[in-house]
Amino acid sequence: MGEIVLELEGLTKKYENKAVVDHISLKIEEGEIFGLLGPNGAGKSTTMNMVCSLVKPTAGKIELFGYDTKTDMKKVKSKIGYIPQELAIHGNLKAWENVELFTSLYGIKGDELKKAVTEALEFVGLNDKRNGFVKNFSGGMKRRLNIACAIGHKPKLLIFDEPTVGIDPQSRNFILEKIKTANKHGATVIYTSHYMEEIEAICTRIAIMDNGKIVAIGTKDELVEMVTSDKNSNMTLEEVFLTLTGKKLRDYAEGEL
Amino acid sequence: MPFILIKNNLKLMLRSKWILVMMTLLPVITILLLSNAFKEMMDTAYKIEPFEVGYHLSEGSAYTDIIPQLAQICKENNVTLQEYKDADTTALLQSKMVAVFVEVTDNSYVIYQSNDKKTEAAITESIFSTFFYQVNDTMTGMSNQAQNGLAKLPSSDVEVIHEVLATDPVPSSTDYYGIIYIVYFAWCGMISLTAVISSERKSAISKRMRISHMSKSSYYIGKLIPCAMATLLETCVAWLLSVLLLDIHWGNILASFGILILTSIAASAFGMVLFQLFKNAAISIVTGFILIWIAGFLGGSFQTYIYANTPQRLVHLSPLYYINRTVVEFSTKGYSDYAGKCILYLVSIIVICGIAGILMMDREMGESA
Repeated sequence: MGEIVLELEGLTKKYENKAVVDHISLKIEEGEIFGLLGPNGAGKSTTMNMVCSLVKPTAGKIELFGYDTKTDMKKVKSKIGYIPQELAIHGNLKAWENVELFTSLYGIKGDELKKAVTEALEFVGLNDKRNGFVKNFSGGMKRRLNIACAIGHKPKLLIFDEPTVGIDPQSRNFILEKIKTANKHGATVIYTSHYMEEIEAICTRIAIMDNGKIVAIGTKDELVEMVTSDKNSNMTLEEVFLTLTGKKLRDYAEGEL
Repeated sequence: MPFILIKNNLKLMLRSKWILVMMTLLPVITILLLSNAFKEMMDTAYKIEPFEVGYHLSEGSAYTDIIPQLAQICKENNVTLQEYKDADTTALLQSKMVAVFVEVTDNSYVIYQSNDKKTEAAITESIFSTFFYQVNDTMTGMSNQAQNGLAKLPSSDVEVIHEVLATDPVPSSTDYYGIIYIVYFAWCGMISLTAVISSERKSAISKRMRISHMSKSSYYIGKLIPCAMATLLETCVAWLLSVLLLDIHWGNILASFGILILTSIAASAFGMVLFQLFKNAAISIVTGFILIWIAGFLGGSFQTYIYANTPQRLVHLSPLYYINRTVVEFSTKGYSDYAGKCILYLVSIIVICGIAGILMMDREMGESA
């Protein structure tokens, strides 16, 4: 068993007495690609925001690399690379300037910074476009740059919050391949999405969230076993997901979460 | 010091073309328009066209012999003294044959004026009162000396000392508005911040900032310094353009530049507070511009502070009054007694807004749902 990278214990977040994350507990080990799957409004992004200390939990405990984030978040910040759902890049800066800016926030300077910028851009296949202004980039290029900005400081834990929203299949495939490459190079990955095929393609373990709770957790095979006793079943992850979360529409108006 | 954050935020500000155009060309256009619009008003206030003063001297007056000297002094002040015997004063004034009429007796004189010639009447009164005061003073002294056997009273040729009073030199309307509007637009420098803030708020950049190692004060400095630098750079370009195109005289350039550096920092710190307070770029800009307009209104940006009708207590509340007065006096005199107060005011704004800004960073870097 590898080192525990992330441990959640009874993690809860309430807005106006409505629990959007409801007492969830899980452990993620070093080297995993852990998928957090759930319909819109399941609480995936809120959970990741709490892990990154962007949102304060109402109750529960978060430990990153053995440190309690409530008291020791500063000690683990440089070990996290967070790729938010929204693009977090300046359109009026060049690609390399964006990566340089966000990498420098972790105290990296001089030649080391230049090297880190080039490596991050090469990793996402944008080094030849390094001098291009981001406002002129396509949606897929922006998504890739969004990733480059989070990996320049070489974090040990990469948190992807729906990184493939609104991009073409080629870019999506490229990003998924790169996530697998990063994992091979030693990074632990948490990947949240509601795209089943993406989770199925890259994740070693999956947690299914619904209404703020984890309804199932395990490998894909373990999840299938939870919903059917047929050992030769060819159930897809989507069928497992729908069985566990139901077929009711999950449309949330703004302010409901 | 977050140098790379400062560098990139400065790039964002300077790459915003419409802000650059506004901050460099608008001051020059405003100076051109306002200096022309107020040229006549300022010239009327500062330059009096030559005019004629009519006078009547009572018969056998003791002053008869010294009138030529008075006429000479009047001439030096572009005033022609013309005697009118048995003239109708009202008719003379109404017909504009004279601007002012003076009735001189042995021990007094009366000045007649029309309502539209108040300034000319005041000048006449000033010349006459100075002249007669000095004549009477001299004659009294000579009389005392004569009684003591020390001197003989002259029959004529009373010597009169002509003194020119020291007054603050007045700038031309082009110089005045040319200087004032460079300062005014430097205060609008907060608009440079919109390039960074709108880019940050359009995307999830603040999330990246909050998750990184950066402290609140670094985040604050990372915006304040580039904003001040961009404002100063834009102000200098506008300054240079105004000097080259409109021939504006700044006098003590080095001291004025020092004031503009402090102004740029103060304006940026003030803008930062507004952006943090309202968390909405449009409301912050509108509020900032209204406050700057009020400060400018009180401080001489529209109506010159030299002839302002605004209550002095209110005028002295405006930081722009001290800055305007200081840089205008640097232009006209080369120094200003207001420089100390101006620097104190600007440093106070920087310190107060700086502390408030860093404290308010808690909100900027705080939790988002």
